[in-house]
Amino acid sequence: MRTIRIAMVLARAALRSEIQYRSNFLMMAAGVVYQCTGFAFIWVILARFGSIGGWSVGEVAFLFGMRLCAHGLWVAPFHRLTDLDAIIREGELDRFLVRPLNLLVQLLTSKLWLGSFGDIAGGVVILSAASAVADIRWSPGSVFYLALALAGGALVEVAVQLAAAALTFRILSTKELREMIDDVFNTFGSYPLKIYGTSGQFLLTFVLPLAFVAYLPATVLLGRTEELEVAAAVAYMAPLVGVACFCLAYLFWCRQLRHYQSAGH
Amino acid sequence: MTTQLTAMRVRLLKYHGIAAIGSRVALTYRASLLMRLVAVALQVYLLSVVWRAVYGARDSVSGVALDTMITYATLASVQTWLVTASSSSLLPQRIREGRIATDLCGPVGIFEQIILLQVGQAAVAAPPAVLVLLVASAAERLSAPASAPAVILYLISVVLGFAINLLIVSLLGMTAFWTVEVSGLMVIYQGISQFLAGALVPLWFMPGWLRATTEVLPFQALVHTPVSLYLGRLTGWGAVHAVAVQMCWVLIFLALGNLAWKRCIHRVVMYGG
Repeated sequence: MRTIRIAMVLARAALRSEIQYRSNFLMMAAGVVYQCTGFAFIWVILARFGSIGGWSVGEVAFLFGMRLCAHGLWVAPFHRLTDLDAIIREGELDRFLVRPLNLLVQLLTSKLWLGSFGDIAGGVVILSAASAVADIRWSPGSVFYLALALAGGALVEVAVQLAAAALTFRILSTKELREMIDDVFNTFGSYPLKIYGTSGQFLLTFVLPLAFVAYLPATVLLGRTEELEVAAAVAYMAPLVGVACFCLAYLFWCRQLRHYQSAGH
Repeated sequence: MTTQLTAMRVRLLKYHGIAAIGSRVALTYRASLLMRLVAVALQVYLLSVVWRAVYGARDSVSGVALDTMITYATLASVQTWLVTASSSSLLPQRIREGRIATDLCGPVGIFEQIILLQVGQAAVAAPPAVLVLLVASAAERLSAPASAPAVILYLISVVLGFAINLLIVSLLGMTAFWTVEVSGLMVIYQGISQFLAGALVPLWFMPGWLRATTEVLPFQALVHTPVSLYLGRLTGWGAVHAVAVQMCWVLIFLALGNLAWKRCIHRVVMYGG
């Protein structure tokens, strides 16, 4: 409880320091533009070809919107992870270690990045526009499931990124690896996974849990679970998978932290 | 005459030296290069899967065969990677850190320095890019270049596209003299330019009004023009015209760059001084 209270105070302070800089609002706009070009690609293709893997424009847009929201939701609190390489190399981590608060909480609240709110805004716009076009029967239950799925999707991405970041304690440089993983989530995750064939789907479900970010929950909401190679129940469980992945990744992070050697020692 | 030649030789030696530093910087961060290479290889694979899926049972759409499309996507991805690999302009960083002061004292102009450093970086990235192309052509049925002249025009066109991007990025980087922070602007530029360059979707699939817009903008010269030359979709006078347009853009941005630079130099403000 105390940790959460302090975390909120620190996050508010970080937010205040960020909004001092006007250019940060440009960063937010940049996030929106960048993600929109990804969507423009899909839009131009589908305007010309009609469908991809049997999914209509509205359905792919819905999938894309879900993925983008989940992306924004993971980046908003966890963006500071991207600086971990430099923080370790410059010995800044030592400062965090001597303070009486969870290391991860301190790290994440030491600086915020407003660009991620651009991702969330873009995701919400695309998602709501797509909801109007795609054939979805909305009910209180499905709205609740969507909210859970977005949180779960964000947790899946957090888990993978946190696990990769934890390796930094040993090998000191994982920034490029993490950027590459992020790239895979952003590009491969925007399409119905059906198009990657059986082995591709297997890899993107059980090796890299990308399917749980948006594709599996989207098939539930779009009533497309019969096209899956896995049981429909697995798709319904997607939010729980996010929680499980995150717990495992956090344990891994704590274990790797024991291998931390301060810079210059 | 001879003194002029020696002066030229000295200048070229300096240029070569700076470009070599750029190459060494790129080689120092090998892990970064490797990971970005993996990312581009994955993108090439992804695009071939996506295009195969959208084509479905059709062999050709709007007169574009699937093989041609996959060749386009592969070349475009690798080229975009190569052309934009170095597009995080070095200028803003140097302004922020105040290093611009020492840079300005150097024997080679900073504008030239920055361009040369990036040329050096691109030179390191080029062999792996060719490697990705070779692997891709072994894995997929890529179309061969349309003809021998097409290959030559393609190579010239790629270099011109690289030059145009470098000049635009340098121009954008100069706004850092006023705003210090330009990373947002750079991301916006990258997103918009890649889309309008045909890096993601070939321009021939774009709706009419968008296609007409791209015609008058410089961006199609970055990706779409070279690949169209390779595939033989631009031939004869059309090809010559396209390359001439690229050259015009290089000249326009060179002129703009020089003009802007003269103004920038008056804006140098040092922290604490």
